[in-house]
Amino acid sequence: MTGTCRQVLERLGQPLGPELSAHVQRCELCKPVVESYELLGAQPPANLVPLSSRLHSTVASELAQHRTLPTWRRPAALLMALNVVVALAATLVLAHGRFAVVHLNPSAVTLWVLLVGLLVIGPWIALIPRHRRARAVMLGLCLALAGLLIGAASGIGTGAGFIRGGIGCFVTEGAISLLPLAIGVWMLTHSAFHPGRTAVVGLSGAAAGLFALHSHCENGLALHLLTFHLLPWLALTGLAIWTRAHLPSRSFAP
Amino acid sequence: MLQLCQGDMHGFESLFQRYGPAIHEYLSRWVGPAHADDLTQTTFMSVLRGRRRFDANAKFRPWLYTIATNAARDLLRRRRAEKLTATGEPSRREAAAVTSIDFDEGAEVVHRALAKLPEKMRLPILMHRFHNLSFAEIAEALDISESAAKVRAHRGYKRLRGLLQKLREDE
Repeated sequence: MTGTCRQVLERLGQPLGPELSAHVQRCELCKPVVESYELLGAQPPANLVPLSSRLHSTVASELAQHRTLPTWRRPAALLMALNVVVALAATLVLAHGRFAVVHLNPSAVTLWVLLVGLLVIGPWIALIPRHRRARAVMLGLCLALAGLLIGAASGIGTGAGFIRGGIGCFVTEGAISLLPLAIGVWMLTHSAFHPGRTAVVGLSGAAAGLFALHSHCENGLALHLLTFHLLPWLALTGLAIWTRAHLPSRSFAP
Repeated sequence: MLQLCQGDMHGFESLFQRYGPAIHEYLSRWVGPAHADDLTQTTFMSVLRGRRRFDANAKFRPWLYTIATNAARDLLRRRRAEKLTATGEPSRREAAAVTSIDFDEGAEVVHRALAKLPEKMRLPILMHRFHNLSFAEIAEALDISESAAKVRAHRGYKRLRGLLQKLREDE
């Protein structure tokens, strides 16, 4: 499809002019496009659609109850606050004054910055009405976070068995993340289902559990981090997407 | 739209009168007239409930078509989930019911040809050919780039030419 083909497409339904007409005669791509456009026939007359009394009364009643609505910023701020509060509270409760030794190498610092960023910015990116690219960037950063989580592993184990040492991490991460995830998914029912948005809400909500767990867990083996920290984070995100897909939408606004 | 954002019922009524017929026609062509009434109402209820998600600097028409498209996709997704046969495939009757529509003979051929197109090609054509949306508006309505909207429409029109020819020969 060349630039001229694009011009033909944009001019469909209008006089093409000699240059574009000559192109259409030569171009194997454009000829069927123009013929197809013409074969589709005349535009149908727009029929009057009456505003049903049921819709009228529902709208009137909704407007009476909620004359003004909060913008998307309020739920985004609430979700952000919830993520941060849950992550910090869980970290303090789990720690009992003891934190895992944090090695301040560049990878570890970047990991913490990404985790905090995900907790804080995630809800905004998920709930903002437009900015498709911001969601893509956020998902890319989550991939980087996953890579760093494994890449920055200290390699020092705790001596506990693989399953015995890991099952507690798995349950803890799930339990901490449940509230931010549930609230985030519920907030998303106020707009149309969008897997990308839901993924960001899931990754951001589950990051509360990941943050608390990562501050507390002393097991630095890469396999442990992959199986009992990273995979639950991704599984919780998958669960959020699955749940949202099966919940009815209150509005189909993007 | 600004009136509606301030909670004014007249704002809603004028939006419905102005855009309701076009949205009804769009949905009729896509999911059939049996569902178009309900979906049109659902679309405008979503406008009401999602009015604070509308960007005052954006165009209203692409936003409205996004909502109608989301509502129709949701319906089709739910119907597909409900009507799956034991083999996991939709029954022929159900598949036909979703796409059957009462047009005159010529328009029926057009409708059947359009129904054979994949959704990603069909929607840009419906919006471009029958609703006069520009490619920038189509891109906004479908949350894709303008270039992608043009490529999809171009491929769709090209494939449609073959389908129309075949259906007319079969008759």
